[in-house]
Amino acid sequence: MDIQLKRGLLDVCVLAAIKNEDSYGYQIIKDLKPYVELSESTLYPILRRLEVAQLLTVWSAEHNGRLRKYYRITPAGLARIEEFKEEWGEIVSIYTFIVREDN
Amino acid sequence: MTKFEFLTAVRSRLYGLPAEDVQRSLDYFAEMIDDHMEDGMSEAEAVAAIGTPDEAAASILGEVPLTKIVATKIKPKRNLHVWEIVLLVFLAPVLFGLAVAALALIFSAYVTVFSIAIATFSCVLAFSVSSIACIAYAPYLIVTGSMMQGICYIGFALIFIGLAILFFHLTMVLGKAASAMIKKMMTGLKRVIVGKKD
Repeated sequence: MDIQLKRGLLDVCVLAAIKNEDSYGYQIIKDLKPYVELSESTLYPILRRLEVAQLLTVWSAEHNGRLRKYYRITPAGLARIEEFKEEWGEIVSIYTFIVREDN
Repeated sequence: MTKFEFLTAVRSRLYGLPAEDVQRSLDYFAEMIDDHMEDGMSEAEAVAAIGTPDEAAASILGEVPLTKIVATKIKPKRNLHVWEIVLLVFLAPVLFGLAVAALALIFSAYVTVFSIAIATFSCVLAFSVSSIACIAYAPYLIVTGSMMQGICYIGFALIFIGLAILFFHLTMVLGKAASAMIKKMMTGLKRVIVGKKD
């Protein structure tokens, strides 16, 4: 798949994984596994990028005597998901044009 | 590989990055390994599941902008003493001169390479023109009765063609060497900025 397209898609996937409740790295990978194979090394830059873009915030909580980072979606992050839905409508209409029957 | 070994390997590959970026990423990978182990994996299995230190380091390096890397490299580790600043001010003309000299050296290296390429290419042109001239003149000599001279000129033409081909190859070789040299210089420059400590 085109690298830019995939990058944007993965960003939204990660946002969708924390849409309903805060989550942590390992949980995000497990939740996305049935839909998209995401490695630990791939997830790190995505989370970082989303944090810098303020689409999510990070907070730490103690878990089994160590700190674990949790990721929370921001209003801007939720808006990004909505924006993606609209973009997808456009992509689908382009797709329909590409695969149309020849006359 | 243990968790500690993995994290140490990643850290050594991130030498030169801002400390906060290094620590944040190491925390992330440590947490990942811990979570895998909590899920029932052994330490070695958990580390293997994360991937190689190279992959981890590459993903971190990709997310830090080059400007930030350069800024970290340039920023001194401590504040300068007054006498160091005074020394720097006095040395400035000398340092500036050295910098200009270094740039001039690099520039002259480029100029040398390109002038050699231009010189050899001119030889190719000269030999080609000469051989064409000899070939054109030979039939005239033969027709006007100077048989021997005509044959000599055909011989010259062949020699010139040979030399032209030889110099053409030389130009190609030099051109390749020049582009390889420029590439090497660029990689060298990047390596100077993002050093890797082993």
